[in-house]
This record gives sequence, structure tokens and C-alpha cells, in this order.
Amino acid sequence: MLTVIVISLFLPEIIYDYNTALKQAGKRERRIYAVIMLISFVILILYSFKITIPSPHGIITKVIGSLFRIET
Amino acid sequence: MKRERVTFNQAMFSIVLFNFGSSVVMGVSTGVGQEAWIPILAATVAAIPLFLIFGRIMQLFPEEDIFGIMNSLFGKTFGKIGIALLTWYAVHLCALVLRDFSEFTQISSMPETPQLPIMILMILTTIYLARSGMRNMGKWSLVMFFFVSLVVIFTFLTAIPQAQVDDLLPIGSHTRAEYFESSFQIFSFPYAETVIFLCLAGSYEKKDSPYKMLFYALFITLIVFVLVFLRNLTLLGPAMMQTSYFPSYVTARIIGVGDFLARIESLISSNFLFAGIVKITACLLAASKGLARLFELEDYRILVLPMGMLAMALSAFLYENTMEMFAFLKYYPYYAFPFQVILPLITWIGCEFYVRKRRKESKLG
Amino acid sequence: MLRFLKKLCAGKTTDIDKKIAGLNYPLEERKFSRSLDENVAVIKKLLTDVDIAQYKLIQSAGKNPARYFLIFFDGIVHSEIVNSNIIKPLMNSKTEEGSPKLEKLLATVVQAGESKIIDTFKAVIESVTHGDTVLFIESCDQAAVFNTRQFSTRAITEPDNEKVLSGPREGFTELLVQNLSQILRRARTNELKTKMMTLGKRTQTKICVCYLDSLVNREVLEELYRRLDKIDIDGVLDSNYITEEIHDYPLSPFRTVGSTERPDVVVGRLLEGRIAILVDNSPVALTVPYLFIENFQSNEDYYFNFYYSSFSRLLRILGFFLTLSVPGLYIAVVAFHQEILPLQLLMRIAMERQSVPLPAALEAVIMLIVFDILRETGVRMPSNIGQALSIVGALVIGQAAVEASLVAAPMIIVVAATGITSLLVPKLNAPMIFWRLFFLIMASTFGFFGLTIGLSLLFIHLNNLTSFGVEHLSLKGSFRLQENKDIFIRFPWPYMIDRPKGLSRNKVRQTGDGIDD
Repeated sequence: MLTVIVISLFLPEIIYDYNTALKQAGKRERRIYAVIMLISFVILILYSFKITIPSPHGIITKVIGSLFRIET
Repeated sequence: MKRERVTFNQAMFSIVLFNFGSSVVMGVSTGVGQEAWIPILAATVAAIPLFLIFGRIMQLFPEEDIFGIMNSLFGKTFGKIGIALLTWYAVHLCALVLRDFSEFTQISSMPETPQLPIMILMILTTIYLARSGMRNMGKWSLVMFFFVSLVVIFTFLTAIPQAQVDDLLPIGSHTRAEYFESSFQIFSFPYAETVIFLCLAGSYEKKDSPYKMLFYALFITLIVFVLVFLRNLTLLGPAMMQTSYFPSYVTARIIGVGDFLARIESLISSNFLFAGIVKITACLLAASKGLARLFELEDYRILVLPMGMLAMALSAFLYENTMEMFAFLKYYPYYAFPFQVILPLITWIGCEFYVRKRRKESKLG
Repeated sequence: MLRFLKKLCAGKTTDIDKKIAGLNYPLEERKFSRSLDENVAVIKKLLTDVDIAQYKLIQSAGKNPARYFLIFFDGIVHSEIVNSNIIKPLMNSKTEEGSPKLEKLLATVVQAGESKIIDTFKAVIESVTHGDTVLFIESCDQAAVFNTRQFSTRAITEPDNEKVLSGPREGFTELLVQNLSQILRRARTNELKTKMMTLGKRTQTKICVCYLDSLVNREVLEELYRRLDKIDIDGVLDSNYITEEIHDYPLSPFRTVGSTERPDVVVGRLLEGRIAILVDNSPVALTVPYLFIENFQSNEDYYFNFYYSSFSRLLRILGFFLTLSVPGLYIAVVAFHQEILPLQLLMRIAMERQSVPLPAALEAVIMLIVFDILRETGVRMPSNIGQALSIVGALVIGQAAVEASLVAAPMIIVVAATGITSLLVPKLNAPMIFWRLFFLIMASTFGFFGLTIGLSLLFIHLNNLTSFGVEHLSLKGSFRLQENKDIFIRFPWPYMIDRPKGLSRNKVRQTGDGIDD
């Protein structure tokens, strides 16, 4: 269900943008656009399959915890 | 293209709403329970020097955002490192706030719905708002400020009959470390997050000083926070206020307008969304502007959609559950401190040197 | 010499048809030749099968009779004027030696008030189709046009959809000149500029751009001309053709060009620095720029007591929100947030709903469409069967459907409330139908959250709109009283010192001496 939602979110977005904003954009813009969209798409698809990705908060909390000694 | 201008009031109210953002939902609750007004005041006082720095930067470079300033001050490499850091912070904050609100919406009104559709709707709205530009966000804030503050005042007034003023006592029952920690929390969340607005600066109308704008915003935020705190505390009592995830929501459940409208919490809670949208939009705009600056692109608007998607993806896997979200709040002030204070501080010092140098040069020449 | 020329002409006459057939470029673009016969032949060729055209060859009196050729269209000319003021003097005139001069003819012989000289066939067509009479003379490559127009028009009446209880009752008609005269009567100053243009390749419709010179915002005016120049349309039958051509956002459901059928409204808007566009053959005048708040303003607001008009303006704004959100709110409450309702009310609604087979959202959609069907029929049908419609609407759909448990009674109330409130702001009817449905869908899937998102999207969309560079929804966040005196409430006239900001070059409406701001 979630996978369908994710795909049906990305498809119209890309189609719409491709026909409007991306047409005038330069090569660089398009490349960055594509890369970021791809990253977020992969992450969201993985999320929809319930595959857990290590959260950046794990590292952040470890580093800060060792620096300041915070009790939780 | 003509550069869009944001008027004084628009900018001020967007800062106010930004500060309300998630705080109005999460309630300004801290570890010190009934004495939370002390850290609120302390954090406000602590925010004053920071806001002075922000104001000074805005005043020295009224036509530039902080990314541009960093670029011209610190050279290409160091400037880009600074830009990258701030951009990351903006994306991360965007994800955090998005998550706050999707959790809140799920818990408050739709326990059976998965969070992803809620997030999608929210992020699409913010992307639309962000693409429409700064001025549009200003207009949005202007109108929504009245709605949100109307609700806050309304709930405050209706809470009065059930309020227990005794809950405010006793005073001075906590250790100094506890006070400090709470103050630090309120300082970094939400006051110091205003650093995002340094990223959006450069399009404000120049006739009023940025100091005035920032401090009016600070003052209004303070008043609303105190109102929210008083309302939550006197209705819930310190223990319940500390244990509930979303005290404002719980408060709204208790409040009733006569016998007729007994439970208006869902109506009230969806109103807080308006403030959240401003916060997410501001972060999204800052992130896209930063990224555009990082890769030296002309137009940041094209990046709003991918950045929004990225923020949503990020917020989807940030936490596994609501507990983790609140646990991270303890670490957040330390994590955010470099972005919120140190980076602007360095930039400000750089600015001052730059301006001195230029003034000398112009005197010589 | 003259005889030689005549001979030449006579020799040519037989070949004229051949010559015309051999001409490559369009005849309309051609200039007149010096030969009367050739001109006549070209005209007749141009007006082949146009039987309404009337030709008349006249010879003057005197020894050296000159030949004149008249052309006009039957039915749109004043035949009395043509007969007695043009034909008769021409026949009686005595020509001197040589060919008569056109200017002299106009000055001494023909008795017509309005005349001009043209030299292309295109101009001939333009003139005769407008009811003018064209006069050709011999060996001259120019022709004269006389104004002999006479159309039958509708009388000036009060426009049906902009009725007022008090105040002027005149409305525009289909005749541009008459409409202009109504405006001129209300603004008798040389500052009132009336710029004529022609639009529509085939219909050649005249439009008139009116503005007050010292008030108008120059940028808006230039933008308007730029957009009008870009129009390349076949025909303009109503001003709405132009509305959609000059719209800032052609795909938005909201209009950013105002329209009215009343001269007093046009002049009121001119006085605020706006620009009016009058279109021939359409009683609807356009005004730009158009702000969102104008949807809620009415000319009657200014003719009535200000307390009353402020109140009704607030009612209209309330009506706008209600008609947008009431169905969505009801669905959100019934489907997601039942706890809001008091227990007794909730029980009653639940009891009503349990026998209804459809889900609430679908029920709402169907009922809204039924309401729109009723409304549409009401507009289109002949007025004498209106009774039948109200019986069908009220009895069959209202009462019988509820009694048969096809529809829940609260839903009827909701739809009725939506319908009635939508009549408060008739100018916004078109966009509201769609947004209402959108809100309904959002509310039925996400409850209040969806409704909030829907409202947000609407608000952002409205904020994005501009009308000729002026923001459609102007929210500068000014708390200055003077800028907010005609927005939500109307202040009494002595207190409205400034014009609406951003519309006009000249801010001050009146000096407002002796009034504290």
C-alpha cells in the first residue's frame, strides 16, 4: 500500500516538473534534481518495505552522550 | 525578474509563527514542571544577544543571505563548508518538524492512518508554499498568526474557569543544573532556530531595522509561550504536563465551551498546523537556497521539490517511534548549538572585520 | 488630354474584370485607383453575393455632369439622411470645368456632420459594415465616408444580476457609444481618456479602454496594452473572450478581471485608479486590476448606510467560508470527529444515518450535484414553469428522499446551507464549486487535518494570483487604519481619505481636513 503511495507521489511530480520548471533549467540543475529525487525515492521505497535504515540520530546521540554525559 | 520584497510585518510574523511552530504543539514543557516560566524567561534573555548578532548581520548586509555572506567572507572552500553545514541543519530541522507534526496529527486525530500519507500532504503543501516564494510565506504568516493566536487566547480564556492557580507553587524546588538544562532547551528550541531566517534574509524591505523586527517577534513569542504555559499548567498540573507528549492537545481535550461544544481538541489541534507549515516552509526554503548556493545554481525554486522529498524521506526513518522523538529532545540543544550559535558568531566576527577593512580602504582611497 | 484619358478608361473597362482576376494580393489591401469604373468593379467583386449592399450611381446637374458612386448597406443606414443630405445635393450640384475635388465636395455640397477621407478598400468594407455611406468620385484615388448609422438597440434597463434597492438603476446596453455616453455623463472631465481599438479578425469588434489620466497606474496600463496587442482571435462576441485572453493565470478558476454591467460601478472603479474596457456588442464592461476583496464588495455598499453595508459585507465573507467548508466540516465531523458534537445531537444524526445506504461523503457529493442541477435548470428554463421546479426541488428531493431514507435529513440541511450561502457571493460561484468538492474529498479522507490542508492550498493559490502585476489578495500587513477602511467594513465617506493602495498613482481621494486619522 505504502509503496503504491510513494510511486504515485513521485510519478506525477516528476512528470509535472519535467514539463514545466525543468524545461528551462540548465544541465547542472537537472543533474542535482535527479540525484536528490533518486535518493529520496530509494529511501522512501525502502521505508515502505519496512526495511530499517540506520538513523543519523544514532551517531549524533552517541557523540553528544560521550561528550556531555546526558542521562536519559 | 523583480526581486520580491517582504514587508516588515510579514517578516516579523513569519518569525513569530516559526517560533510557535512545533513549540505550541509540544507545549513549552521542560524538566522543571510548574516553574517552567523561569527557563522561558531565562531563555528569552539568553536569546537577546543572539538576536543582536542576527540583527547586526542583517543590517550590515541587507541585500544578502548568510550563505552569500559566508561565500564572500571565507573564500570558496571554507564558505562552502559553512554553507553545507547550515544546509544540512535546515534539512534536518525540516525533517524533525515534519515528524513532530505527523506524530501529532496521527496521535491527535487519526490513530489508524499510517504517517506517510500525512507527511506527504504536509510536505506537498509546504512545497507549494515554498515555491510561491518568500512574500507568499509572509502573507501566509500574517493571516495565520491571527488564527493561531486567536485560538491560543480563546483556549486561555475558556481555561480560566477550570484553572488551578495553586499549581504554580512551589517556587525554587529544583536544582540549578535542572534550571540551566531547561533554559538551554528552550533557548535552542525554538529561539535559536531563528538562524534559519538568516538564510532567508536579503529580501526584507529596508525601511525598518532588523533589530526591531527580531525583538518584536521575540516579545510576541514570549507572551504566547507564557500564555500557553500558564494554560497548560493550571489545567493539567505539573505532573501531567510533564508526562504527556502533547500537553496542548491534552489541555484542549479538557477545555469545553459550555455544554454544547465539549471536545473541540481536533478543531484546535488542526489549527496549529498553520504554524507548523510556516516552520517547515522556512526550513525548506533555507535548505534549497543553501543547496543552490553550494552548487552555484541561479534558481533555488527548482530544488524545493527534491529537497522537500529528501526531508520527508529523512523524517520517515529518523525515529522508530514517538518515544525516540522525545528522547532526542535532550540531545538536540547540544547538537544544534554549533549551527545555531557558533556559525553565526563566526560569520558575525568575519562581517565586522570585513566592514572595518572596507571602511579603512574607503578612507584611504 | 481629358478625352485621351477617357478613351483610355473606356478601352480598359472591358478588361477590368480580367485585370482584377489577375491581381495576386488580396483585394482588401489594395489602394484605390484613379479610375472610377475600376474602383466600382473591385467593390462589386468584393461584395459578390452580399445582397444587402446598395450601389447608387449619380450624375450631377450642369453642362459637365460628373459621376458619383455611392455605396451603403441596407438596413443599418439612416435612409432619410442618405437621400436628402447626400444624394439630393450631389444631384443638384453644378460642376465646374474639370473633375470636382473631394474636399470641396465635402465642404460645400454634401450635408453630413461626420465625414472622413479614406483610400483603401479595407476601409470601405469597415465603414459600410458599420452603417456608413461611402462616396467615390471620378478620377480621384480617395473616397469620402459619411456617418449615416442607424441601428435598432435595446433600451437602457437595470441589469438583472446586479440589481440594487437604492441608487442609480441604469445598465449598459450592447451599443458601445451609448455605454460611453453613460460613463461620460458621470465623469465629465477631459481626464477621462477613451482609447479605441479593434479586435477580432473577422468580427472587427471595437473595444474602448477608459481610464482617468491622473489616477491610473501607468504600469498596469502598459501591461494591459501589451496584452491587448497580443490578442489574435477570430471573433469577439462578448467581453468574456477578452477576459480570458488577458487573464494573468488562464487556468485558475478565479477571475482576475472584474466585470460589471453598471456605469456607476465602472466610474467608481475608474475613480480608484482602475482601467475599464468596454466592448462593443456586449453590455458587460471589464475592469482591471481586480482584487479578491472586490468579490465581496457591491456598489450598493456605497449607496446605503455604512453600518448596514459593513454588516452585509461581513456576511458575504462569512458566506464565502461557509459555502466552501460546510459540507467538508460536516463530513469530517460525522466520519472522524464525532466527539465534537454534543451527545444528543450525535445520537440523532447517527439515527438518521443508520438507515441511509450511502457513505456520508458520497451522499454529500450527490446532493451537491443535485443542488447544482437545480440551480442550472433554474437559470435556463422559461420562467413560467418555475413553479414545477420548486415543487420537484422541495418536495421530491427534500421531503420524499428523506422519508424514503435515501438521504439523511442533516445532509439536506447542509446542502441547503451551502447553496444559500453560495448565493451571497455570486461572483465566486464558479471556483467555489470545485474547491468545495476538493474540500469534501480531503475531509472525507483525512478529517480536519485534510480540511486544514485544503484550506491552506486554497490560500496559497489565492496568494499566488496577481492581476496585472497587482497582488490579487493584498496582505501587506499594514495596520494603518486608512488602508483598511474599505476592506472588511466600509467607513463613512468623509473618513475614506485615501484610495486603495497600489492601484492608483494619486493616493489622496479627498483632503480630509478636520478629521483625525
